[in-house]
Amino acid sequence: MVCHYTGVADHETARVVPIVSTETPSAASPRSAAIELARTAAAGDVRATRRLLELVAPRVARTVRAVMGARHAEVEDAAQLALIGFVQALPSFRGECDPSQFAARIAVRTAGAVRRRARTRLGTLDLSADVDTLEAPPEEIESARRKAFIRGLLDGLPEEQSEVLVLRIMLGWALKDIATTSGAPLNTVRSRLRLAKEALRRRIADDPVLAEALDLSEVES
Amino acid sequence: MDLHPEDLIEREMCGDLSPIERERLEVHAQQCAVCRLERLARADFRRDAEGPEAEIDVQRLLAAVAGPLAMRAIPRAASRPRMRHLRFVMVAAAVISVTGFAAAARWSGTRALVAAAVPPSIPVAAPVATAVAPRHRLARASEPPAALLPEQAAPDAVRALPVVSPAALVSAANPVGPVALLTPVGAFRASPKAVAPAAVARAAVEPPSSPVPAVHDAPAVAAVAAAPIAEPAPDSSTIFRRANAAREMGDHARASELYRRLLDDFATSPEARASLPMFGRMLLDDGNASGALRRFDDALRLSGSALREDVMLGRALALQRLARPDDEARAWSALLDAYPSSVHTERARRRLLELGRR
Repeated sequence: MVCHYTGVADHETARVVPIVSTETPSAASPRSAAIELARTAAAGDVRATRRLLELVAPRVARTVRAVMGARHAEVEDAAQLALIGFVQALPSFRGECDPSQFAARIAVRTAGAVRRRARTRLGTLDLSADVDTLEAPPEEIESARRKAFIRGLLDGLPEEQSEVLVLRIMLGWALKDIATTSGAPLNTVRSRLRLAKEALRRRIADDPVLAEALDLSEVES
Repeated sequence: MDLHPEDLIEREMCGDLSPIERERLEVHAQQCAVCRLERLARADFRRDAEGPEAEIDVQRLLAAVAGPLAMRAIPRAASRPRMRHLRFVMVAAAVISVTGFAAAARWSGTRALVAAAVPPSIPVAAPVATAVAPRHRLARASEPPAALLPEQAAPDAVRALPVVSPAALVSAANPVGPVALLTPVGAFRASPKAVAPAAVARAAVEPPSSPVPAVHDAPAVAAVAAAPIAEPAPDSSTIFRRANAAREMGDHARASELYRRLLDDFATSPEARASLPMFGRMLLDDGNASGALRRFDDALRLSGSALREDVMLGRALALQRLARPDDEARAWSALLDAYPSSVHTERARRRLLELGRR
């Protein structure tokens, strides 16, 4: 049994519905309606494409927001590019996972690329921009710091590790789902996550001031 | 069974931990800053995903991509102006694919297949690339062909084309392709294989009634592609109006982008000066105190007196957030001196008392 809190979109309210899914995305599982819809869309059906986009858009948008920060100036552009990229990539979709997972992975890469470009162009991002430091309670400020720290780490990681970190920490995916969607063996995913967390540990150890601000000063030996 | 912490964390995510496992995870997290941070950060992101800010205007998002994807069922009027160039890129890409393929075919000795259908040169690629470049800085002719793959090796005639590659535009989003979002691309895949993805995508979103242009239709398609170039760029008042509308609708990211554009492109216009106080206030509300302070300083320097009182208030609040008490106190005092009967008087005096200045 796997779970992820960005697992499904409530299309009435377009909000996240936390789910516990018993479906294991594998080639042997019954074809879901969404997979069939994706196949129809890939074959050129305009209506199916539109319905599919309605299905995946909430998840794509949330994924982009998670990776870039909800108040990033280019978050909407990235969501649009991710949806376009999703349609472009449909012919390569093999139906081994839910189309929304496929779309989310595309969104992760798109948002990461847009974020890196913006960072290159604009320089160091204002980490406080994600929270109103005058009005926000301390917990919210701490939360914004942690999120900014994780996002900042992504830019320095190899893409595979960065992707696993996003899917695991930001989107709450199970390792098995990450492996299925990315087409990598489970142990490879574990290895990538371990390396990403090692980079995280180094970053914390290298910056005691930041570690203290994040209340993480007790680094293990 | 001795579980790896990843498994414990995963089971915790599903609410599936036994008391013993939970205790083991807690002990581990006490010693491991990384896992502690991971758990805290995961909770942070989860709250975001479930919180009120997770509400998404799906229809608006879909309308924005409707143009690029040529989904005519969605009202085109709802498409955002900023996406027009993307729509244009898709059309231009089709033209470029056709022309590039023709050039490559000529080079590779298959001239007979296309020579009769395609004129030797189709003067469309250069203006197309120039027209779409400004916002996202798409590929230009002068940039090196960084994404050239071995099988893309093409003659100079093809490589010299200032191509905006649709594959480059979306390849970052495509897990099966190279990652090169909006990066300079000097050439496209000069093979039928490379033309195929665009064609497939086009087929996926276009109704059967709009056939894919054939090779011999290239000049006609070029004319279509050239059409958006004639669209006039928005002037300062249009950008100002759009920025204000976006701000009022709560779309601060969009408003911020438009305000910046206004200040960059029309720095001396009255609209740019008028935008400074509201842009500053918006940044302040969004927690970007340093950015807000810059705008307020510019506003005091450049703007008239209409919003001066509010600008001075905003400046004091920005300095408060930036924890610069001396400057903040001076800002409050300046406000009191300039506007002794201001509605902000009581607030200013109270704050000065807190700062121990009056």
